[in-house]
Amino acid sequence: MTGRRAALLAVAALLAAGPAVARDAARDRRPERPKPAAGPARPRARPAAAGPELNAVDRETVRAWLAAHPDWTPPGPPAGAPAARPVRGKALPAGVAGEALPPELAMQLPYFPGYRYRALGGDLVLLAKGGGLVAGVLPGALAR
Amino acid sequence: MCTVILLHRPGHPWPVLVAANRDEMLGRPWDPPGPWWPDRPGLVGGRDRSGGGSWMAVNRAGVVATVLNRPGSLGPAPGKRSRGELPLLALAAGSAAAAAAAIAALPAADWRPFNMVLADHRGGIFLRSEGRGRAEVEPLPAGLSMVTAHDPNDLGSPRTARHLPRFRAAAVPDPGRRDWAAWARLLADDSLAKSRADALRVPPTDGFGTVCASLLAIDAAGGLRWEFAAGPAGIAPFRPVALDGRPA
Repeated sequence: MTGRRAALLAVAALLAAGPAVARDAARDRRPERPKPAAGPARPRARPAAAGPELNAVDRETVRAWLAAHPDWTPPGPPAGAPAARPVRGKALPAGVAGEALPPELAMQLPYFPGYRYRALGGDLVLLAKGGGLVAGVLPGALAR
Repeated sequence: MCTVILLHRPGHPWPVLVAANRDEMLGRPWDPPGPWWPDRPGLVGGRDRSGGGSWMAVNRAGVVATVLNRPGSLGPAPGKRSRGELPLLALAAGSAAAAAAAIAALPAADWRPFNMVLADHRGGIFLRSEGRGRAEVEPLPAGLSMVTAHDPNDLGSPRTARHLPRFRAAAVPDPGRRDWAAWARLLADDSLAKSRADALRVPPTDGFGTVCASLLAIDAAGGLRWEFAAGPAGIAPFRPVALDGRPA
């Protein structure tokens, strides 16, 4: 096989594998979710197409972080509470943005590219970056 | 939540090698290493524009000073001095040992808890402050040391547990040939195992992430070579830093 032919075949193989490689790369950036040793039952697995969500493991992660950081207090309730409570699958109420989590806490939560965490009062919210849709909520997870 | 990796090889022509990733709020402004402090001639470092200090700097005597937060102490706090001034204070000294002594003589409660890694051609020194009393001083042993917000080589740090073995297995850089390839690749690794806490290059999200990187070598005579990436490693290229008036 000539070098030129080998190179052409390699390029063709890469082009054919492109979408699969991209999917693998995206999957690699999502950490494996640890299974809880005990405690509340995990929500039933959702179809992959439903996107990321928060679960009991994440609530335990937040609890442990709060216990280790007694000086941190969640932001006050959002204006208009309780009507401003976040609802999964919907945008946040107008005028409600929440506050950024402490980076040390956000870093311990699952990383979903294209999403960000916010604190809304005592609620932990996962927002899709583009439209700001609520992808997940842990009500009261940040409350002391 | 930065990371500093230091390799000490006593008797080697390049006895000390340092690699560092700086993790910071993405919106916090900073400048790449330069002589930003005219009242401190010979001092070259990256400048945090908010506090005016530095996360990593060097002086003419061949001393390197870095500062990191301790767990749970990220960011400024009312009534506390900026930790960025600590490298500047340390680098008034002519050796890493003297710099460590100078920092350890200060009231640690003036700053939020911090770690420091100081080094010269004799080796590295770790300082730990819990924000009270005085900072504790520990010489770093020969070999590889990895410091995060935790203690050196503390496997309780997910990042250290995951990446220290990778540095141990990697080819040692050759600063004389400007060959840092193996360590540069490791600094550029933004893969995750369980969460961003175990990433060496922290992916940017929630306003926080790795913002820049450094590779630095000290030769046996105390001479320095510093390669700096003005962005995350693997995205921004490493380029030589001009030191002590000499072109890069």
